[in-house]
Formats: sequence, C-alpha cells, structure tokens
Amino acid sequence: MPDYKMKFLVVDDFSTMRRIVKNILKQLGYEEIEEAEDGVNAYAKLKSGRFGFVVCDWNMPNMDGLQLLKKIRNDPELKDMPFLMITAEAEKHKVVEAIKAGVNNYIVKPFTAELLKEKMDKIFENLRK
Amino acid sequence: MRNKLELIKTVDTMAGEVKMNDLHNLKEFFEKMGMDSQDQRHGILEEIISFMDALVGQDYEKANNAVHSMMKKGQDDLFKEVGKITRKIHTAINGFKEAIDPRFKEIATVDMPNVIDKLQLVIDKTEEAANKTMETVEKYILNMDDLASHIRNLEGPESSVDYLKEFKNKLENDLTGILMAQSFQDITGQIIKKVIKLVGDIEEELVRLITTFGLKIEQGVKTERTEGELISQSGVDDLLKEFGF
Repeated sequence: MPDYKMKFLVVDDFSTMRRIVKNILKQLGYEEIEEAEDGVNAYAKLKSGRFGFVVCDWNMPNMDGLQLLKKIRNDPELKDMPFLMITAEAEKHKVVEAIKAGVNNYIVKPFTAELLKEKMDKIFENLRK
Repeated sequence: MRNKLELIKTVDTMAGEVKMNDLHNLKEFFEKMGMDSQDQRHGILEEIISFMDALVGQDYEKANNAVHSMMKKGQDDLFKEVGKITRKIHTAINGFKEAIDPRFKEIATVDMPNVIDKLQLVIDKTEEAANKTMETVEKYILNMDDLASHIRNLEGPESSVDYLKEFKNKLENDLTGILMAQSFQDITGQIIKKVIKLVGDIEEELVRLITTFGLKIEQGVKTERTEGELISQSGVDDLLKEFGF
C-alpha cells in the first residue's frame, strides 16, 4: 500500500505541466503536493519541508533537473529522496546521464496517467527491496 | 629633326633667358599658392625647368631624360593613388571580416536551421494535440442525438428529465465551443510558417555574407545535428532495465 500522506514536490517551469502532474497525482490518491518552478526553488523547498518524493522536469532556468538531482544525491539529508524525471529529453546519452546521476525512473513527454502510475509503483517496489 | 633645331634656335637665340625666368617665376608663384615639395606639380615643374635647361644647353640626352622622368612621375602618382585606394578597400574589408562575429557562422549554419526545425515541431505538435482534442469531442457530439432520444424515453420525475435535457443542450454547446476553439492551431500555424520563411531567408543572406567575407562554411553542416540518438519511452525502459531498474 502506498503512503498517501507522502508529500510530493512537482518541479517544472511550465505551470500547465505542473497542473497536469498534480492532477494525476491527486487522481492516484495523493493529497500533499507542492510545486516549484526551477531547481533553485525546488532545492530550497526540499531543505525546508518534509518531502517524500520529487517529480521533476529536466529543462528549466537557473538550475535544471539534472543539476537538482545531483545536488540532492550529494546532500546527506536528501540523498535517498525518490526522484522521477519527466522530460522531453529523449536522447539516449541524456537518459544514461540521468541514470548515472541516480534517477529512480525516467518518463519521456508526452506521457499518460497510466505510465506515471506504473512508474511510481515501480519506484516504490524497488525502494522496498 | 628640322622642327627640333628650329625650337632650339628659338629658345637659344631669342627668348631663352626670358622663358627660363618665366618658368622660375611660375615655380615661385606655385610655392606662394602653397605648393610644397610633395606636390605632384612641383616635381613636374622641376622637370620642365630641367628640360628647358637642357634644350638651352643643347643637351638632348638630358632633355630626353627629363621628358621620360615627367612621364614616369605621372604614372607613379597614378599607381600610388590606385595603390592607396586598394589598400583602403583591403583594410575596410578586413575590418568588416573581423567585425563579423565568429558566432555568426554558428548562428547561420546551426542555430537558425535548428530554430526552423523547432518551429516546425511546434506546428506539428499543436496540430496533433488539436486533432486529438477534436477527435474526442466529435465522438460525443456525434452521439448527442442518441442521447436526446434516450432522454425522451425516460419516464422519471419531470424535473430530472428537464435537468437532463438542459444538461445535454449545455454540453452540446460547450463541446461545439471546444471544437471551434481548436481553430487556434490553424491561425498560430500560419504565423509560425511565416516566421519560418523569414528565418530561412535571413539564414540564406547570412550564409552569403559570411561566404563573401571568407569565413568558410562547411557543406553539409545544415543537415547535421549535434543531438544524439533519440529514444522512445520503451527505449528508456530498456535502458533502465540494463542498469538494473
């Protein structure tokens, strides 16, 4: 059973995309969802709040998704944070780069609600192992 | 030969001294007018004096040299002027070449074709989205008549039947509204196409400019992309599996 009280941080510079992800997460039963428009903003929120999951875009101003991921993995407080990348970046070497940086899963835009659910389940399943 | 002798005689016997004085006066006159030793006229005048001097002294070789020297002076000055102009043009062209930002080349050969591709992608994606929206809306709009006849068959409380009828009408109106709103794609698409054309024209001019001023454009750069291999979600999943996910 997933923990529906888990607090999510949805990071994307496009509000439409944040809204879509937020809506899907709500449909999946999660209630606590916050938003950030770039990596800098996201990192500040992660440091100040008790978050359990990050859903993040790659291409953003100030600090992009990959930079945020690396920063999280290098932060002793945050290093185990589940991190799902949802991005239009579909180049093979970029996916590999994200995997090496420690991403928990990777979704290529455009995506469906079912795929997001599937990937979340997969992440939780892997975390339990 | 006869003419030459006559001329010499004239200079020598009659007015030789006078003419030489006149020439010297002329030189003074020019100097008063501000003719310095750098002036072209100064040199020619010197040669004329020398020529006349030689004639008076019947030194034909010296006179001949003076004439040649005069001719040469004229040509030298012409060449000098042409040379100066050439150098100025050369410097101007070089300056312009340096003034062209080296980034120009990248902009013309990589960035602008990329921008065109991206704009085309915008057209394609919005079109795709609009089509998908319309497809879904049409599916329901086409069934509105069926819905109406089902509502007519209902025998429930009148207020509920009326509610459903009104609901159905509103829904049909709104669905039509959504359908109509998709026309944005057509309008934005046309504007983007115009921008694509403009960017293409500018790109062509930039390439021409750069080629004219000697920055080499490698052929085929236009079609090459620096981006790597693109993969789909299933490709991503395969990769994740490879890495033990």
